[in-house]
Amino acid sequence: MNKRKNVKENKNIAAVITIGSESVNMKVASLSLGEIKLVDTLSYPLNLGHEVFVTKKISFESLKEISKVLDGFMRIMNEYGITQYKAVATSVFREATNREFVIDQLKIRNDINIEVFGLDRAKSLIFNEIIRRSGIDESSLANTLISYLGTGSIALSVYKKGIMEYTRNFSIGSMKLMEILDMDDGTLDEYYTALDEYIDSVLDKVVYENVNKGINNIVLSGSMVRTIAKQCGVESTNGNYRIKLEAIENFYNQLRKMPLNDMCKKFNITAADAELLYTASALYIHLLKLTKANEIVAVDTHISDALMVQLLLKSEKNSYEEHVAKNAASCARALAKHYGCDSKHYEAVCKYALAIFDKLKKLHGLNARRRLILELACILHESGSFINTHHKLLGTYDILKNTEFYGLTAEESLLIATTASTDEMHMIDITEPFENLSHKNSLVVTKLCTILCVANALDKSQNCKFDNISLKLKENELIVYAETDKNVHLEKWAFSECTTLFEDVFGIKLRLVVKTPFFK
Amino acid sequence: MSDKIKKLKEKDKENSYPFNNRELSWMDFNYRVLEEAHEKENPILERVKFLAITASNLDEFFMVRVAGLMDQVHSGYKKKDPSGLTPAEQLEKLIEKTHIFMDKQYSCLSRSIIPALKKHKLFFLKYEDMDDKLKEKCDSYFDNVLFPVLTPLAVDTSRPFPFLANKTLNIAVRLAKDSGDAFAVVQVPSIIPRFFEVSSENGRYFVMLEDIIKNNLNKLFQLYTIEAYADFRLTRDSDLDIDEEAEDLMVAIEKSIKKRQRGEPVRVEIAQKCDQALREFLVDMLKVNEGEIYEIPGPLDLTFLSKFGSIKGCDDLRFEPIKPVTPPADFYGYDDVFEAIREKDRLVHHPFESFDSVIRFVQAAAEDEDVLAIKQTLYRVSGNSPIVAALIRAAENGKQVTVLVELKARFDEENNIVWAKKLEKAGCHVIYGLQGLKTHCKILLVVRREEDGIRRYLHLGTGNYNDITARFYTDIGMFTCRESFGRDASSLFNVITGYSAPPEYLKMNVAPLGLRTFFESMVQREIANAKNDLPSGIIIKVNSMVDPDLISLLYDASRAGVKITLIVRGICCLIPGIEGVSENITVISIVGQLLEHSRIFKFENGGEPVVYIGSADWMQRNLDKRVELVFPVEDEDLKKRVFGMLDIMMNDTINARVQKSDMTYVMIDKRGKQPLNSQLEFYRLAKEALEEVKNDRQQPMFVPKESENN
Repeated sequence: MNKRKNVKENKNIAAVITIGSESVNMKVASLSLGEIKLVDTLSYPLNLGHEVFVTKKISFESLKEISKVLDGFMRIMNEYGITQYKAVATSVFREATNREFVIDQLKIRNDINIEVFGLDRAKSLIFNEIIRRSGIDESSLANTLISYLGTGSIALSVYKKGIMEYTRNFSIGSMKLMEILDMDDGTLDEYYTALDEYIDSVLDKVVYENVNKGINNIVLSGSMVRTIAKQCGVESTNGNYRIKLEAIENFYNQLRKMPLNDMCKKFNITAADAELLYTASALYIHLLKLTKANEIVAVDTHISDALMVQLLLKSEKNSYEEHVAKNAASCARALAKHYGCDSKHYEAVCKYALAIFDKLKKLHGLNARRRLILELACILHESGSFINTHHKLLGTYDILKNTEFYGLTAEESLLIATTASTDEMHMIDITEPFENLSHKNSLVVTKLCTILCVANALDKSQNCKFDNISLKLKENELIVYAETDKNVHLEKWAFSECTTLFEDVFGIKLRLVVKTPFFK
Repeated sequence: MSDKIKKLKEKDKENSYPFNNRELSWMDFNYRVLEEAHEKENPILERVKFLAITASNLDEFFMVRVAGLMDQVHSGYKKKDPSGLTPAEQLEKLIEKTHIFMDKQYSCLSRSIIPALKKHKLFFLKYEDMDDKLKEKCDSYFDNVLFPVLTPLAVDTSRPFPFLANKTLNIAVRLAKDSGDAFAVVQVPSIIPRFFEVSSENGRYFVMLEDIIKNNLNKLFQLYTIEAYADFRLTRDSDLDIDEEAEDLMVAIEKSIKKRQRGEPVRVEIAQKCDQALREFLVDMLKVNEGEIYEIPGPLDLTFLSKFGSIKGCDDLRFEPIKPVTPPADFYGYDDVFEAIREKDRLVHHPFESFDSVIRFVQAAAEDEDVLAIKQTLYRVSGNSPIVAALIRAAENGKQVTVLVELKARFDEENNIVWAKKLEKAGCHVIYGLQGLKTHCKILLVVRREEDGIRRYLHLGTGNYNDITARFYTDIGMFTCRESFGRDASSLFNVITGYSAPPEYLKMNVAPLGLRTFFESMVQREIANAKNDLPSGIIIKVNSMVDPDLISLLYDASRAGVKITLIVRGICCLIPGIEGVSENITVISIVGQLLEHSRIFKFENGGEPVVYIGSADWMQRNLDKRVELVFPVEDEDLKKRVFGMLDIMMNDTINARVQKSDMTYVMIDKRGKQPLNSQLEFYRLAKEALEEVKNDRQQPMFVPKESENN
């Protein structure tokens, strides 16, 4: 490949490479007059989904193929003078047990860093992009189900009164379903019936209570959007399609009667697409049936579009982070309610913890993402009581470690779980790193735990005794001023238990000054 | 109704539509070229060149098409073609037709051309016509120039019959020996000019090289008595058998090229009145049968006439040369080619408008510092190609250059291998072609970084990136930087380079996936419009019209009332003017000074006509086995211009012939019509357009009046 001489960095053009279940893709886009313009799209068909969903591994042959394709993509990026790009893999890599090896090999062979997106992170990017593209004001979303139907998994979130209250992921994407239920067994009708029932079994149990009641709107994106819309006779308006329930039902019923070959001929699609088409349509129908919606707003967008926005529109990056923070917190609150957590207590702890976090920014060096982790830990730190009052902290850890937090990675879930599962009675030992955490993450969690402990101590009785707190940071100490006319002996004791840890972690003393109204 | 049509209509019941045999139709095309050799209105040296063209056409026809039929017959293949003929039947008819054709070639030469040459004091002499002085001159030429180069090859039990390369001219000699006859072969060297100008007093006198050799054979065989000699020439099967799945396609093609020289003989031309023993000897050695032997009154291999037609000092005996207009009107006044294209789409009609505009585009891209990448397909490239030089320069300047050099371009394989290696050496990314497909599309993409982002500049055309053939092939090229075209071009190259599956193109129609369907849908639309009493009509200009399915669809369109005009230079398997089948179809063929090569497709589209141009003829190979590109002309001015081109061609009364329903061609009936030579008219229009633009751009100068004291 011709090595370009003196490549000027061009921040107005970027590429996003996505390794998916059925293809390796690249999108190239440029920023022109504030708008993102698609320059080039490539899609190299490579059916990784089949081998991964069945064997749980990416074969060496596939690895070589991916490497060859990435080589070509890098060449094309060079042709456009692209210096900023993102390479991600989604469900197919998530499910591959040898993904670390594959990622390592691609780094060595192609000098490309592939980031494997957890479903929540992918989902949040896509949902943010769906909202951005559809032009909907997020705060006005009411009784709306938003969903992404991928080839490996599907993700749902529910908005009520402008707030996301529920979010879930399911490993039943259109291709995955196909692999799970072998099409060769049984008659066509048996297969379709089995497929329907399987989807019902996965979706209904968990989803039913949370989703169907009063949901009037569905906004979705994912595989086969364009094909389904076209077959339902719907034209795009700015990349959006409004597909009526009746149209999808008719289409779906047509498909049910059709063998694969007939589908290929009638819709002029490949056999692979035909298989995906049925499973995708089945998922659409099931979502519709869960709700009272009579149409679907389908947005033709992909994770690569979302990432492109992040690369080219720096302002949108902040907007995305805000979206994640807001919705992660709102979903966490919904979850806290489900686990019977005392909202007044956790809101107080949250308020105190975030105030301390903000005050100590120069000392802890943690970013907004870490602040979010602290916030979520605060909201859910009592959740363990729901399953085990005796070993509440262990319960909290187990629940939160396995919780899918909106927009956060599995690693971040672990940080939340670890942070939330400490209190002043069960202090962390700063000389010993946390189990299952890297050294770097151990440091982060130590800082967050310390702040959480202090915040929790301030409402030890869970009676919200302090109306307000204010903080003063001096050179050698942090003074917490709290005002109350109530007996705060318990809080003072709990607070004192935290001071040694606080000093060890932040290198400054911690002092509580309680003012009573008599002494203003 | 002629017997021919009756038979075809009977076959119609079997095949559902009348269809002319492709090979026989090609022969008819070569007949039309031969007619130009006969045409007394043409300057004599142009007639000579036309005759040469019929000969080189026939050579290639034998090497590929006849050879292919022979293979089919030998392997027992009996499937009938769409015209209802088996390979054996086709071969039989072809042999008959080609024998007659070659008779006519030589009749044209001896009865028409040579006498005409004489009138212009150009003479071909035989030895017996020469005086001693001239003979001496020829003999001296033999002694000094030919003798050192010639290698007579004897044939006997210890020396087998020599391997004779394809298309070489040879002299077979029968020698008397004590023990009986002996034979030898002397190859006429192709490196030496075929005709020798022996005198230029009172005219110019030429002698054929083989005549000089034959009359000096005794010097080659001093120990023998020469009993008889005869010229002969061998044509071999030259279709390459390439293992496309070989790991290295270039190596596979290089191997195949070497094998080409050893293909089976498909034709032997022998001088008439050849000695019987010599004839038998040749038949035995070459292992040919009677049908493959063509007795020629001489001289063999008329392709030499091409060079003869270009002899110096006889410009008045040739067409006035068409000097391509430079720059084309569309580019006049623009130093910056990118600026010109940004302003609007541009169209260039070659050779009337110079191909330099394309070369300059590549050269500008190679030097421009904002150009990031250049991508191009090359099918047939000239020997000293400035396009390739520009691409090499671009690579040296750090541009990302991607070139698809189609190594399987028949008879240009070696040439293209040379270019591919040079480009690779310079750092270009070279693709040799696609497995199972030939890349025939003509496209050049330049990716440029500009203030408002990436912009792609394209050249798309009907002709090869060959500055030599661009001087005598008519072709059209369009320059554009429309975003939709740029996207499609990038997508096409992504597919060609193997990085992506084919997308849904926005504007372009690409074979092998989608182009056939596109044409079908366009014709179907005209049928629907005709049935709904909306304006309908089709005009198609191609080099060959062969595809049975599309022809059948055109018949359907004709039956539906759609008026169809086909401007087909060469092979046309559609038969026009048959009642109830094709009465609404007119087929014309333009054969003139230049080789018609452009492809244009116009559809009436209910009163809003649309026009496409591209690289594809209507043959199965173009639609199903090649990467071809057909694209719309969207700029209104350019659309009008292309419509105008079609109108001019349809009104050609000088070079156009119309096909009748009995498949013969006749000159257009000129009565009541303005004489119009479409090719000269295009030339005139190109010059006129440039003058107009020049005049428009000349600003009147304001002359200030000043005081004399200043």
